[in-house]
Amino acid sequence: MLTKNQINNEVDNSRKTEAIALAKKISSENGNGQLDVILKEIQKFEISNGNATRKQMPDMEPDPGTLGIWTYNESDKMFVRDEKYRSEWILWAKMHQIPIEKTKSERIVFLGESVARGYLYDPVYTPAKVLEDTINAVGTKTDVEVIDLAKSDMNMSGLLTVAKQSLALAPDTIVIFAGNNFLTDLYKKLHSPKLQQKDVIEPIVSSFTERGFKGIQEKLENELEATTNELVGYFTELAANSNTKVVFVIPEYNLADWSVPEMSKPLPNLSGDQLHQWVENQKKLTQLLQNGDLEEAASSAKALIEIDPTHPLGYESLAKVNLKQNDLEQARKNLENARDTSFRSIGRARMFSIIRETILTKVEAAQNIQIVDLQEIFKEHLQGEIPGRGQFLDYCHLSVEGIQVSMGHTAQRILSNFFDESVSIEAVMKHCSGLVPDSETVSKAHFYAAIHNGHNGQDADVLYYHCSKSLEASPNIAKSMLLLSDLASRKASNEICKSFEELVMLMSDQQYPPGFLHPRNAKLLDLDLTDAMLKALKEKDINQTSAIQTLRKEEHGVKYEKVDLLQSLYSKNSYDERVGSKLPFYQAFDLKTDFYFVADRDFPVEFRITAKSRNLADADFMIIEVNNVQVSKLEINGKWATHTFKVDAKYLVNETNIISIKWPVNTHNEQNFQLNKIDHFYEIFDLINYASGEIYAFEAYVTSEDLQLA
Amino acid sequence: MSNIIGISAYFHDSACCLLQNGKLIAAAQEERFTRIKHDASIPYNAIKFCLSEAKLSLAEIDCIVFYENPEKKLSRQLWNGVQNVSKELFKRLSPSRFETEIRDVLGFNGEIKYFDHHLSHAASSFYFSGYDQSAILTTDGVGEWATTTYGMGDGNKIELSEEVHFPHSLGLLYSTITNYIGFKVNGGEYKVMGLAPYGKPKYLEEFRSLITMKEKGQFELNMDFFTFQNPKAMFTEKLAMLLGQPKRPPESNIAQFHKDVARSLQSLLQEVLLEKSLYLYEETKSKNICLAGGVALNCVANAYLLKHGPFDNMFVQPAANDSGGALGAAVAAHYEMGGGPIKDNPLQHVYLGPEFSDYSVKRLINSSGLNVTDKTGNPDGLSKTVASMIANGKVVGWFQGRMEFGPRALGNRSILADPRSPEMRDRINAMVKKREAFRPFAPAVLESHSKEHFDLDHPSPFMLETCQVISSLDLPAITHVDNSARVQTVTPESNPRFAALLKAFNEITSCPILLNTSFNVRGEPIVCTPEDALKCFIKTDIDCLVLNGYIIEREKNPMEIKAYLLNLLGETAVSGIEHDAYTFM
Repeated sequence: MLTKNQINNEVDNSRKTEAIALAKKISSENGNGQLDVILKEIQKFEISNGNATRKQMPDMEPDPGTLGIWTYNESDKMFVRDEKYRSEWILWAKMHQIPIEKTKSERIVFLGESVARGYLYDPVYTPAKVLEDTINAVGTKTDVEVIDLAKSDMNMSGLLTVAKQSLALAPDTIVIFAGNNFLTDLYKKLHSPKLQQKDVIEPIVSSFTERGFKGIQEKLENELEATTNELVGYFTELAANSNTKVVFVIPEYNLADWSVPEMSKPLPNLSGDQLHQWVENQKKLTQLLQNGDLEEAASSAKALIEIDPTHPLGYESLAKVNLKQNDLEQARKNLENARDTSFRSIGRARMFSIIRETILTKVEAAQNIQIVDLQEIFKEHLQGEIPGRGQFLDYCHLSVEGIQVSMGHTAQRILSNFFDESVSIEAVMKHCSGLVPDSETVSKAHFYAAIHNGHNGQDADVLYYHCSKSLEASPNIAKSMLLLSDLASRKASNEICKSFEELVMLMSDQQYPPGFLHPRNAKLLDLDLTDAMLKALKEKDINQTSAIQTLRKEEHGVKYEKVDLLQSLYSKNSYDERVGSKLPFYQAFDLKTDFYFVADRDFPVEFRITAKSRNLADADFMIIEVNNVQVSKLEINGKWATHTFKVDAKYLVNETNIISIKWPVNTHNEQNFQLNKIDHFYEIFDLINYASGEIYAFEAYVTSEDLQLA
Repeated sequence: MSNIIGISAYFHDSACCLLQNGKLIAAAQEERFTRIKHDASIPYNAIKFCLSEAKLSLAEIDCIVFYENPEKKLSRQLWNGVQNVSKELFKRLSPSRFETEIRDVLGFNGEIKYFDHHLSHAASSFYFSGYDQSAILTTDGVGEWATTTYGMGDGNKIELSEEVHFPHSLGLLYSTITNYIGFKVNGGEYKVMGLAPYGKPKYLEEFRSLITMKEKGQFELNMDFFTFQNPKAMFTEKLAMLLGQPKRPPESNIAQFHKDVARSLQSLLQEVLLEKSLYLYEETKSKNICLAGGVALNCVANAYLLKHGPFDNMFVQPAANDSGGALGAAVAAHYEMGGGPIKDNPLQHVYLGPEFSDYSVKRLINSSGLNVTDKTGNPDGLSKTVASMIANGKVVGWFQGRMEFGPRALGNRSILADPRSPEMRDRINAMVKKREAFRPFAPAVLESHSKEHFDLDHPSPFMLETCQVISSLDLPAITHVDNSARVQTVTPESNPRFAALLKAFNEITSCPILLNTSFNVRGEPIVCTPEDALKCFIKTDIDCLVLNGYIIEREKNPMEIKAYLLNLLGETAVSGIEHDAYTFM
């Protein structure tokens, strides 16, 4: 008879044999076996870990005694800012304590995201302050305190949490000014490893299978709709079941002066002929628009929309035609469509149409619920013009004018509907227009706006606009601009640089130093931003262009050392990230990819590039241009190949040059969607975007022979 | 021409090396680039560095070699039990995972080879030892199934004749007790080794009951005390009952009990290794022994083995842990493909990582706005100036040449100080390391003078064995409580600049020894780039930073604001592995 140990050993040995056999089987199938079958066999070796299975954590009920970053102090009867949240203080109102009891006859709690913070003017000038001041100045029947609980980077669950916590303040009215962060919030949620991926993947794959690219957009819109419904539902129920009045302020978007980021416009992964048509139309468009050939341009743009109605490029281009034709209504629609289809990158906060439509549909204006629809309000305010840099500092954050208009109308709505005061909007706006921040605050806000726009690849003229406005408001900003020009031109990480230190100390009364920082190994050269600052400074007789050019050469010049052009300094002009897998090499998703390098006209520059293109069926050629002149033609196929080529000095300019790669596109492309291999949400985007090229290494240098010859 | 890339990944400490025609061109650990300590992901950054150093492209690589056999490893993982079976788990465990990443993700089309984990360890040691033939002993937590292997190396052949299989593992035993004493697994084992001399082997009998020695090279752990299936704890309640106390909570007070446990464990390890080395000697009759595997980083045990064991000569692979597996796999492939003798045999140094030009360093310093003394072009002047600073009590961050490969800093990414100073250990702990007070720092010494100061009759270039301090000099900063030290011997041939500094220090002080500890703050990997070094310098209280030929002194540069901003706005240390249990799943 076997002993217990012997039995255990037998079981162990038998289990070992089975384990070895299964491993061998899995290995020999090399990942091609049926997954369900394999998982079932693996389950025979599953052991319990006694822990709860991974599932999404339930929503946390608000901590009693907590209100955002404030904690209730019973003895003082105040909510006081809590030290343990100190790192978050700069995201909230600069208010150390909030009395639990009202200090005025009416209490308004003001909730929202960074737009509600008055981002870039905060803490000096905020929508909450403008609202409070306006209501108290224009209203006659009551006095109001506005408790500012808006937070930059507020997400949906955070908003609901704070809303529930704020009931401890017994608000008479709650204003919710939010909607911009819902997509980035959704993307974070969909990327979360805590979420059961199959719950995420299966519905999107299913939608994609049935409806193609449109299916993905619809799925995301469904999620946004659900998110918005949840938010709206809470507040409408609150309004219905209590005396609390609610105001939804629906954000508007900078349609005229915020371009869809390049990362949101990758080549779509279309099949053969469609891709060919797309490419041909895309290539034509730029030239047609430049030449003013509007009919043809419209036709090309419409062709793009026809081929892929989920891609922003067609809409954006058509909007440009509309604007040139002065058809503002159409331009607005197309710009909104461009915004609504810019989901291929993480992008910045933006108000999607579905969110607005959901609020408008779900919320019926009632005695104690009001909607302030900024899209309609701005339209009226601008007399049909499309909102742009006059009303916005960037994509969604309001300028002084934007804050005045939005809060003026909100104040008027509250006064008329909740306080029964008959006040005209004209009277309100007359008061609001006098509420302006001091010139130093305006100057800094435009300075930060220039940076923020610059870091998101926006047009040079917008950057210049903000730089000029900044200097106009206060010439004191010049020193900061010079420091930033220095900082941006250096190769070292910003936090190491002396100019960073000086810049932060100089602007120590504000709260945006992280705006000068960048993720590790992800610094941008900020060429357009620096050039915009230098141009604006030059107009004030401060000319540092030559000094910055010299600095750029010293810091980045290829004659001093080999330069890796795949570093973010030379390969990116925006911090935006494409949604998709992160691979250990550079991927291009456009027809033409630009890289910067710094040289001078004394030496030829040699380049070494290792590249391939996974979507090519046969070998083809990539065209290399330097400063828009073709200098080389290199063979490329589906395997890594390395090329070395030299560019004569005559093609170079002193200081910053551009080397471009024009990628061949496979006109026999087969979409080949392997949907069963998708394990993560973002991998779906790998399928819908067409990678035109991949670069493993790309270096620029001057050879020692050339240096010696010179 | 053969170009071979060796890779270790997925456990902890992933790394890459490039072997060209039998010559090591480059090697680096991924954590140094990503700044994620113990980073276990495929070392894409290290691969790119190695290719760049060799001036090669991926297309020119003949073969990529992986340091373990995924199929065998999967069988052991299945046998040990899996949790939360899902598509994700399968992807992680799949034997084709490495190939998928290398082919589909990286786009490599050439040959991919696999070598067993312990063979990779064995190769990483024997083929760089300089021995024509040698006994080989590899010991770690676990590879595929093997936790310990015994073998023989002869010329370009290695034969592993015996293996001990999981769960019976000296490495896991050591890690378990590390966990019990309240230190982190995969990192805290050094602390246990350092704590041991403060204790007595009072629990040796108890520890002997945890392991049964068997015939030949075999041994078995008593699995009543261990629970390697549990991802959160490695031992059962029985262990605590055996020793009479519960697990020590991390960061709590270390009592004499814990010191005694550490000492008992260390004694047991040494006993077992000695016994098994006797067996190995009987099998091989070789005078030489090569060690590798994580347990070979236990330099106290290594010294014990050399002193008391049957072998006259010992070589320990400097990257004895999994990062060294990349080296071993590459060399094994080289020989399998018919390659000639390895050119780095014996291994002269491990300075195989990136280096940075004076131009790039000067550019960085200019951007920082810090005042600097320029000694480029004047190496003598540099040595004398820095030696003088150290002699005056300064702690110096020393950044030179190519980064070391492996866990030790060996004079290119080091913090250096005067070993004669009684308060130097506490100072460096307070400034930079924030380590437990009991942990000693290690010395570097000019090889030509080593015998005068240490009981060491052979070179020890890689700091992998301890010995007794016999110096007439008082060296409190590097002498452990049992009078031992973990020595690095330095020659001008292996590291001219470091040797020159030691020489200069000797000329001033008549002491050819410096305290040498790794250049990093607690929780972060050793610095890789000049910028990493500068950030570390600013954030800590190191007195002086030497980047190539440039000297930056704290007293000439007010840095409070810089430090404040870096601490306020900079990155926090990240670890790439869990530390509650050994990451063999």
